[in-house]
Amino acid sequence: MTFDIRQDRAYLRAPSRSTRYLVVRLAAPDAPRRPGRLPVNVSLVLDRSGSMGGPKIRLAKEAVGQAIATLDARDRFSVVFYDDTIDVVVPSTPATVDARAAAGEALHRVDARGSTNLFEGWMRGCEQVAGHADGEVVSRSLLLTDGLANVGVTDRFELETHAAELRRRGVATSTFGVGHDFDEALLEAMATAGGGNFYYIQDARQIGDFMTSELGEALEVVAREVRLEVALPPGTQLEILGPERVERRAPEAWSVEVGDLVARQDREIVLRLSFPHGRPGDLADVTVAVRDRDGAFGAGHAAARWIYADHATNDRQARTREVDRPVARLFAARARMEAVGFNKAGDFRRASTSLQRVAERIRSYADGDRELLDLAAELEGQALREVGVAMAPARQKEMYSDAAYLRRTRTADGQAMRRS
Amino acid sequence: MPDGIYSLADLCGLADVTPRTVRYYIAQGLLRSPGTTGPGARYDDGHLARLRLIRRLQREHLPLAEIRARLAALTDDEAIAQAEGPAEPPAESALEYVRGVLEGRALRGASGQAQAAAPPRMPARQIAMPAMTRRSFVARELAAPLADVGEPSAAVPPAAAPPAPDRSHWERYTLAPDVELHVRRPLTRSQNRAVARLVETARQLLEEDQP
Repeated sequence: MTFDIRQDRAYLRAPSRSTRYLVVRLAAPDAPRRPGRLPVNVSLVLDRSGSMGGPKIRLAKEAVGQAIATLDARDRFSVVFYDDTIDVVVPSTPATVDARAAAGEALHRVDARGSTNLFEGWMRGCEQVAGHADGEVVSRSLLLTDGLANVGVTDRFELETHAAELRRRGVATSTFGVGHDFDEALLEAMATAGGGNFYYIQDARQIGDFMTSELGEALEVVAREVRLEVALPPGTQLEILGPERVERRAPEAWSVEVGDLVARQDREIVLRLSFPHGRPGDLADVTVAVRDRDGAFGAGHAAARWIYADHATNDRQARTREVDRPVARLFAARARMEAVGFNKAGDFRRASTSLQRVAERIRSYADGDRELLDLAAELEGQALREVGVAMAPARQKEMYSDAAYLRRTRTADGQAMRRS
Repeated sequence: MPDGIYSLADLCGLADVTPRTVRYYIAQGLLRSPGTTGPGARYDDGHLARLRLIRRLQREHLPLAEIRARLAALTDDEAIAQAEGPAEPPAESALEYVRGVLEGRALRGASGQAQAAAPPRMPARQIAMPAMTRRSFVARELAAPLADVGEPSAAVPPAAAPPAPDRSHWERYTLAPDVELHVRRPLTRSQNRAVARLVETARQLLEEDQP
């Protein structure tokens, strides 16, 4: 079994619309179906603006050396450094021993200067990847910055749109924010739209670990472009609580884009379903199939069924805690990201309120469940003591990235959750 | 197509519009009348798809008359497919896309001053951008205090250096059939926020003037 589904309750309200939740748990296989791994095709795009001066630029260069050492001749890589001008330091090349050594030499000549043309640096990196993105390969652009984009395109919506368009064409984007001065909402949005991962690197000495980890995941991809195909009863609407993108392909057929999964990765996706009213005794069936470009999830599907009933039956029905908990965690994560935004804006009251309201809502259905009550208490504590007063920039980044990791079922270090 | 499955409140919640907007679109011929009026009126997936399609086409800066003509040519099933179906498969490769974007910027840079003087049409690439999915369910779920949290970092101080002038471009917002707003981008984050509010407020005001 490579996936299963759980529904929150059994009944729907016959006289009115009902909101119900369905959790899909994906368990990626240990190894790809084909022998050997998929080759990767990456560009490492690094900020060398003035703020990267001193040890940061040295650590970033070391990180590049460390990361490309994990590749071999099956793979391709390129290295781009950007400030207000863009240097393709290493154009896309097969990762042979000679090419990796030559890259090391080329990196010596890079130093920090200038302002931050994140857009063009990233685009040039994508250009290097795009030339070799066809066929059986994992193509990714890894963008690292420690500051705000301040030259070229800086509009979040436009950057997000380009990331999404490139993803549709087979090039994913992962982003790394270093230190306290980058825009976490921008980098997270680019990674989400770009089908990649977002990382917060508090200390520049960790750049190498994060970059190697992301590249390591790319080397262990076993299922590319994983998606859920969801069939719903007429009049039912679907939303996703996490960062996954959803498309309606036909009146009752929806597709949820999950992205690439690595060997032994566990991933949880929460579907929020809004059912129309019906007649008591009517059934509402939802089927979920998991598909991917590599056939790792096979051709099976799973089904959930709800039954229409009167209000009294609905009010009495049991809740499935295994669904309530991930739903609550995702609402809490989203509220924390929003609260950090308000806190940065100096609107402490709204920051606080956003966490309190989610906490109240969780309490309203916790009904003695320890985990849900703990989550509500944690949110209330954060509302009072953290987001309700000025937060240190490092703490803002930490709270934001923790929430972003949770929304993608990743560990506190931002890595894929994997079975041991 | 199932008959009348949404009440007006359901429809508005799902499409993220006000009842007044729905009535206005019906009066303008953009939406079919549900047949009856009052609390018993029921709407279907065709209404929902058309409402979403109208929003998407508005974001693409089409005038209402053009939107009406396009919607009139669609069956409900076609409207559903267009409003919520998958985007067309990309016609150009990743490499062609990147080069198009980079070359587009260079061209705009070359004529930046002229563009600053007279608002032109948006570059074709930007008109063609697909609408991004906005995940506003938390806001809807939890109502007012979270209602405008679409961009958590909206208050990040503007970047230190001013945007390079040769990168600017004009964007056009259609506020009503005869009213447009032109904005030269890039703007600072606080300006972006102000423009978003301005557009929203203006659309509401102009809508209220309709019969």
